[in-house]
Amino acid sequence: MSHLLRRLAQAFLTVFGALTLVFLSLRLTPGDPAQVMLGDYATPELVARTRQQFGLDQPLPIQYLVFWRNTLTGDLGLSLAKKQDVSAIIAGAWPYTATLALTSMLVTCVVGIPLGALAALRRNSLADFAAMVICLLGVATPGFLLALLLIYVFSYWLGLFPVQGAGEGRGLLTGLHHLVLPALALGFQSAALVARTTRSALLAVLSEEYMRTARAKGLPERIVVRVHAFRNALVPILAVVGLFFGQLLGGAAVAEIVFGRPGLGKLLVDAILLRDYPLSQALISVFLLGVITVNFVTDTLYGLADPRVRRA
Amino acid sequence: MPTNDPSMGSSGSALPGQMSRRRFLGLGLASASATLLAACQSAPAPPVAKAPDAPKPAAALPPTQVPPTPVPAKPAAQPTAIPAAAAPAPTVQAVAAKPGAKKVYKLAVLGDVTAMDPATMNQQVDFQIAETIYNFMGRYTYDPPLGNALTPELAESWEVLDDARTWVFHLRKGVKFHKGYGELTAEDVKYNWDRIIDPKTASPFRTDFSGATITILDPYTIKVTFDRQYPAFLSASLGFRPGFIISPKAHQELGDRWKTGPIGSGPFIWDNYQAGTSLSLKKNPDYWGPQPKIDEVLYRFKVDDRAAMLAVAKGELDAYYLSDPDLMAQAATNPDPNTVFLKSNQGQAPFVFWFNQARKPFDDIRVRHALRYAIDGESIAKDLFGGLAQPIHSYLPPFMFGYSENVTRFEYNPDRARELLKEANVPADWSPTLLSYSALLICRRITEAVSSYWTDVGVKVKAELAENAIVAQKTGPRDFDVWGTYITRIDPDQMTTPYWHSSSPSNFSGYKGADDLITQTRSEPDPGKRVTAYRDLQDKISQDSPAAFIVAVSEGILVNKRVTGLKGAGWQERHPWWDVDVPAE
Repeated sequence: MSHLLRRLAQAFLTVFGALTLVFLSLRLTPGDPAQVMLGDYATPELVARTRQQFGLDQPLPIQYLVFWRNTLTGDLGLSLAKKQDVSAIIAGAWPYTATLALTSMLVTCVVGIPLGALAALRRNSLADFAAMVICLLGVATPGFLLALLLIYVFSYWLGLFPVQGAGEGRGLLTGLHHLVLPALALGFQSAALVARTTRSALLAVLSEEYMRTARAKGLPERIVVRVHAFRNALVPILAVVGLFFGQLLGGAAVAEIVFGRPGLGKLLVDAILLRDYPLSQALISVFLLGVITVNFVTDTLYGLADPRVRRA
Repeated sequence: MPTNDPSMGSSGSALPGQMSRRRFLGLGLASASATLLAACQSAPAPPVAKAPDAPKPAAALPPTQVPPTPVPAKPAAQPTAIPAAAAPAPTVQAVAAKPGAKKVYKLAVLGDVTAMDPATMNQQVDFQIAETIYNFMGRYTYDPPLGNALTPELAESWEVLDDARTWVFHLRKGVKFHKGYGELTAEDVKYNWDRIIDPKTASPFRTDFSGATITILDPYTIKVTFDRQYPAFLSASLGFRPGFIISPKAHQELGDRWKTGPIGSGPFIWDNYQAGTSLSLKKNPDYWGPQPKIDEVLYRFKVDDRAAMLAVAKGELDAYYLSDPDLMAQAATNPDPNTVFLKSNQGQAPFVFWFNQARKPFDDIRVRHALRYAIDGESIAKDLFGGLAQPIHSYLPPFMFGYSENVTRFEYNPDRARELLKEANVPADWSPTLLSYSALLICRRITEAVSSYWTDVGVKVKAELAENAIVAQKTGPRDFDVWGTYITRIDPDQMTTPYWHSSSPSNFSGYKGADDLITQTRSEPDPGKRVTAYRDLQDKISQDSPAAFIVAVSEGILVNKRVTGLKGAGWQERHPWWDVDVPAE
């Protein structure tokens, strides 16, 4: 219980510090939202009036206090660029990013863990070599390139999947149909790294003395690998998968842009380029909370996978 | 169970045996549920009645031409038939549509809607969408890139009095705002224009109404009186952003949240907006004028160039405005068999490098001339843009009223450039910075080419390509040596007074040599004399060279062959909305 409370306290402190950093880093980044909004119509008078309209002429400490007041009261404000409520924008987009991240995580785990396990159990075989080549390709291929290649092959040539969109408002099957390529594009890279981690962790465990003991007891190889080897290799794999979830949220922007899907990642890129402070702050906060939650859950799972962590 | 519980992502990855299967199923269910949630974000659109073929607006006054008498109302004399598309007629037209099928025109654009308030909007994509949901007071004809006639729309006719000091507009009767917001009257026009004039609105178009007083003469007649001659008012305002009229009642209700449901009187109604991704517009069944042929417009925002091209080829998108000159050239020379590439007949936006004359040695005319002699605009247009740009020698684009070919030219002559730099005693270590936008390939390409030309004549130029926010921060206080950008406007005065008059804060080069000529172009009511004044002004500015004029780049649109009614890439991505047609599906 104290482990859980300690983790919760750490999570709250992390949120406070991170949101303050987000606020400051956006304000300290060169570029004025009013100038960007007005574009080539910007004149000093118009810029001054626009800054006043959005409270950007207030001193930084006042803006900081207003930021916390709004955050704590759940008022995320009005997007400077989109001219809509930030909460409405996020509410409309988060299910798409959550779906994409979770499905990509599924791809990561379903592809990465068995591939790594296969490579470890068939060490120095052709299967091991092939698995590691796939991993290298996955790690070395930029996300946008992989996305375009998938579109070119599976959508343009073979016509199996749509090129664009998320099948908004057209039912579950259409939504899933639109999800396949983005999830593959996003999940494949992390699958490659998870495979490498799984291979290394499993190889390390397989060389332990207790593995020989398990086999000497006459346990079937299936049980030796699943119960004794895999469970012990799980902590580093969990750590890597947890880390990748954060990366998947960030990487979602590329998939969302190339596949023309709605989503938080695409909105964040746009918001930062336009210096849309309220939307940027809110989106980074959402990502941050997502990552912190996943790390919290991952930490808790360590305890399930390895009781020594709970006792520590 | 929350469908986005991040723990599902982690737990599903882990355990072997029975646990693994349960967690795997759990993760699968979570993904499916979240997908269901995502898929249900917007409800499918109800079918809209099929549009009858309808007449189109009649051609009327050329821009800046001042009619001596009111233009008679012509409610019935609508169409100047625009031939259907440069694209081959698709065979799918012949296929009978399914019951309930709709004609949805799917269009992708690079940007996203930022503001739909006509008083403050300044983005190209905003303008393009606004012209579907709002009516102009007068609409420019569609003749890519821009027709040269302003046709009556909300204003059925207009009069000019007192040597272009007073304008009287006679409004069309029976125009209804969307969603029951009532009939459009002179009160509504006054509200819209008073908002632009009000300093609190911070409208970029306030200068267009400088010295104006607006008076309602009767519910369908409104008078604008200027304290000066202002012949450009008609062409600069009626068919541009200040010419859009929105519902005051809806505006007062929505306030800052105007974009959640803007109300106009145009042929389409704002339906469903997904920030950064899409917007659907439904045909207005109660539209006062001719009905468009399509039932719905679906915009896709923030798309990737290459993916969008493939989507057009596959028919998932109907059209996409390309921004990458390489892809434009590829689409023009080697198009997919299902697509056709259409471009504007002339370059639209002049690309200009402003010399900051407040910094030495740009105050020396020999240096400015040398830098212009050093640039080969012909080669940039031909080699870097594959002919999809044209070299320019003036600050006005070739399609614009008043554009003149007869200006002082600085044809490519690197030897002359070196001589002039030597005469001006430019220090050997002079190393000016060339500022432009990093996000736009057009800017990057031209900036790099010009840097190379200047390096060839001995100027150690540094190219500084930065994101929009950084560039804006430097150009506002004129903290640059040379700044490269392009500007699009509809009337020559909008490209003249703000950028070249000595009193303007947007006079980026600090030029002071043509105030008298500028005043003449602004106040001359006779269109012929105004053209002459613009010719003299362009020549004077070219002689003085406060900037280098490089090329005007054409716009290009990639269209699926199932689309009919487009005949080129319109100015600011305009569309001939009454002609565009797609098969119902």
